[in-house]
Amino acid sequence: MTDITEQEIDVFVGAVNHYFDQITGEKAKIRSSFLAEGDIRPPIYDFTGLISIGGDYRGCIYFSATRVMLMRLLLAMREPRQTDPHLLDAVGEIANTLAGNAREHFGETMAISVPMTFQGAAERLRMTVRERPYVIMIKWKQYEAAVIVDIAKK
Amino acid sequence: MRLLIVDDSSIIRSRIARIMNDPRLPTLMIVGMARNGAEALELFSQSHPELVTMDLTMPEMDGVECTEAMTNLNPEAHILVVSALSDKATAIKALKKGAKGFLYKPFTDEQLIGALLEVMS
Amino acid sequence: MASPTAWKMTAGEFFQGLFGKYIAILIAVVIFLVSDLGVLGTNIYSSFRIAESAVSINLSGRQRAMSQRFAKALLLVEHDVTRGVSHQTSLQELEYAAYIFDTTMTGFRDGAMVTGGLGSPVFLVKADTPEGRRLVSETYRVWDPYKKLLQPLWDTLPPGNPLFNEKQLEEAAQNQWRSSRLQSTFTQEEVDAAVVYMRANNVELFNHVNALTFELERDANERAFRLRMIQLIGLTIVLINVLFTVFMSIRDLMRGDRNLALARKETEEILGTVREGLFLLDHDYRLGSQYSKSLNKVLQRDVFPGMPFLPILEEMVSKNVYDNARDYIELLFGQRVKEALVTSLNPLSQVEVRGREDEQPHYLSFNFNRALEDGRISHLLVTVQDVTEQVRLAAQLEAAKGQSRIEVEVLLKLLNTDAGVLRQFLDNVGKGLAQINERLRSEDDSEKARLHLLNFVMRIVHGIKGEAAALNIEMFEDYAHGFEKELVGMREKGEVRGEDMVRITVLLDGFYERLAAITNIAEKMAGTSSGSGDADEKYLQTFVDSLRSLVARIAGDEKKEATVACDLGDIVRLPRRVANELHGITIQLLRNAVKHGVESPAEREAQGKPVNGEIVVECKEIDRDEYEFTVRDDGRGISVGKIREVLVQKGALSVEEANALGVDAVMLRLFEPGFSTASEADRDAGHGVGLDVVAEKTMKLRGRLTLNSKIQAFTEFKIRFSL
Repeated sequence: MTDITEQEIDVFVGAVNHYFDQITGEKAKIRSSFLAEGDIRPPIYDFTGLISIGGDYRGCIYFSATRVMLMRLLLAMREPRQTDPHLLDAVGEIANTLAGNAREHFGETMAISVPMTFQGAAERLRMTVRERPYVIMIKWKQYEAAVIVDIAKK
Repeated sequence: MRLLIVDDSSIIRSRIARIMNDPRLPTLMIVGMARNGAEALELFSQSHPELVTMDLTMPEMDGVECTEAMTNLNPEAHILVVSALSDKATAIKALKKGAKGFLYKPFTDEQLIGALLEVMS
Repeated sequence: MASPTAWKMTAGEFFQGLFGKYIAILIAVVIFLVSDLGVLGTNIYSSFRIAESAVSINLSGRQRAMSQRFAKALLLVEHDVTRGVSHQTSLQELEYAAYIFDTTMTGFRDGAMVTGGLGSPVFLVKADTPEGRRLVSETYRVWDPYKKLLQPLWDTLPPGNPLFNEKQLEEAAQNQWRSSRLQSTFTQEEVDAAVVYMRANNVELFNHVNALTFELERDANERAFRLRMIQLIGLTIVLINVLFTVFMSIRDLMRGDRNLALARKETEEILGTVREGLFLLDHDYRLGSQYSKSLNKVLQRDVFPGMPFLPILEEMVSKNVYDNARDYIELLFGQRVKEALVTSLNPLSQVEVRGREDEQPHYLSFNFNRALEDGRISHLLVTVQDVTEQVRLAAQLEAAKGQSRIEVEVLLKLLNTDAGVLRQFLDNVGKGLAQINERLRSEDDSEKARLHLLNFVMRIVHGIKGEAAALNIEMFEDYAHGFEKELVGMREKGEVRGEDMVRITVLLDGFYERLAAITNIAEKMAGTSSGSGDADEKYLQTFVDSLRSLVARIAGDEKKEATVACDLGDIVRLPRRVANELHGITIQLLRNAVKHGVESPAEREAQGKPVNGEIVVECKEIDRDEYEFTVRDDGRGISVGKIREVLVQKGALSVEEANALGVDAVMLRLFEPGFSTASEADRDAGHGVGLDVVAEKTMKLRGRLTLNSKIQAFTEFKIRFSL
């Protein structure tokens, strides 16, 4: 049985908010939130960064965003290079940051991997540890992204 | 002062590199950028930087291990850990292995400059 | 608690202390040195002066003797001359005595080296008092003519008076003691003149010299007295100074002792009364000598001063935490890392510890502060608090929120429920939750869309709550009630935020978990159920039972008396889907009937009604495949005035608008989301969801809903539908 508390989902929501606030000075909005249940699949945008979770927990966290959002983020970081490899780098770094920040709550016993990144839809996202992974839809300016939390205690 | 930047993300590396021209910082010369611990250690022993920014989650030798190895080579090196890992145990470990300061990702330019000045003081 | 700065003393403070606290002692020391040196100086000076005076007095006394010696020698010379014997010896004596007298006088007049009492040269200071000077000049007044008269006599002596020593001879030659005109002899007249002068002036000369001796003695005495006075004053100052210093230091010591005692008492009082464990940790990680009394209790261990801390910790916490804590303490003692950075990393801020006294886990919160001394870290000040109670409360709260807890009673209730009804119910719940999730995913994030979404979720949750209540599945009912309460909270804020969406998702997940758990049990039960008996009959029985138990429960909660009379025979002829919808509708209407319709027993009695309120639920096939479903209570009826009032209160309408609204229009408002006349929300009514659910379900059945009511008489809902 999965056993993630609301607090723990809030950890990720907080990390997302903090990320956008720190990097761009503009908070992201939560557009909506739902469960990846039944026919409802988590959304996959242009670029996706995935962090595998180990240690006392298992599963993964992933951050998926549209190309334009990532380009705008790089601009906010004053990064002039906007090639696909750079966008992949960025999406991986965001996923890594979100997962890393979550350790403040989960502790060091939640091991996190280096980011795995890919472009476009991917078969690899046929996860899941949870019956119903959490999907948090993010809106920053008019751009979209999603954080998918699919972790459970061992 | 010689600076070595260690991070697996090229975006973070160039972000840190760009900040070096800030007038509040002493003159910093970037002597290398490394994508992982192993690379970092090699550059460290070649170019003897006094200042290092160190990511923790990296492939091939993580940052804590790398910090320890660097401190063994030169205990005087000012190592600033720049990581998203926000749990206490990791920070304690890194500080114990020789890091002089800790900066959490995501960081603003101001926070990075502040943290660099603090580890150099 | 004292801050770590209490251990600090900066250089500035040190000097301030020196010039503040120690100023008295400093002054005392300076006074001591000055006065002591003064006394010492006068002592040396006076002993020197006393030696000088002794010489003067001594030589002055000798002058008296000398004046008589040369007087006598002169008389002898005269006598020798008269007798015609050799006068050389007498003359030599005369010269010698006169020479000593004369040179000594020079000493008294000008200060000079003279022949001392023992023949060796000494320095004679001049007689410096006015009287002394007068006496010296008086002596000279007599002596100068005297000497002139004597001079011709000793000038006749051959050179080298044997009474003179080498030095005196040399001196005499230098001073031209004998006149250059050498005489071989002197005349009788010269002797006589000298003798006559001597006889006339000897007494006077003696008296002058004698008076000089007394004057010198007097002066010496006076000087000695003065010096003694100075000494006395100096000694007195020293004495006073010593007494003052002693007094000051005794006073300071006493005050210090008092303050120290006070401070110690304060510390002891603090350490004795605080509930937290307080102690100092030194560089060897040992406990300091002073710690709070409660430390034993908080740590559940006997502690003693100097006890090593790490083994205690190791025994209490997990290995992981221990390793972190050890590193952490090491970092705190190191100067390298700043305190602000380290403090935020405390791994013992809330840590589970193994208790010794009981098996229950305890939670302690350790706080470490650096204590500085001269800018160096001397100790760590550690506070320990037992936070077990807080942690337990938090855990209970978390548990109360409930995560997949299934109680035995739920199981028992499920066993008494018709498997078909239950499956239908679970199916409905599943569909409802899926609908919610589908809506959550909706693309539209406008404020209006979110409010709609909220109402939508509320309706579904409320529906589930009602059905769960009817089936007596409290686990669902309670959860749905909690869910609903949160939704109401969100709606009342007036703005639905993204975070609320996350909250709804979490609640939805919890609901899914419960659903999965019960579905699991239901499936197991289906596998074991006998399957015998008339399914329709059982369905009807469950249907009716659920309504009765619902009414009984709500009436109990409301302290009212109410029963439900069912005429529902035809219900089994309906498809179960329709029957289940009707069941859902009945639940909402029964809730309202008991809550809003039926009056309190006292009220009913006053109106002459039977105390027990009666609610009738009927389902009749009035035509072929045409049904009429009725729920009627004999309560107070619906007050149009009250609804108007509520609408105005809620700010939905102004008084004028409300009054202008026709009766039908007012009644219609009842079916809008968010309408409620109950003042407080509980799980049976008041959230303003109810009639909107009824309306929605009626629409699903494509039925027609009519509402009839008479004040103080009845309220009746009728739904006509065809299959």
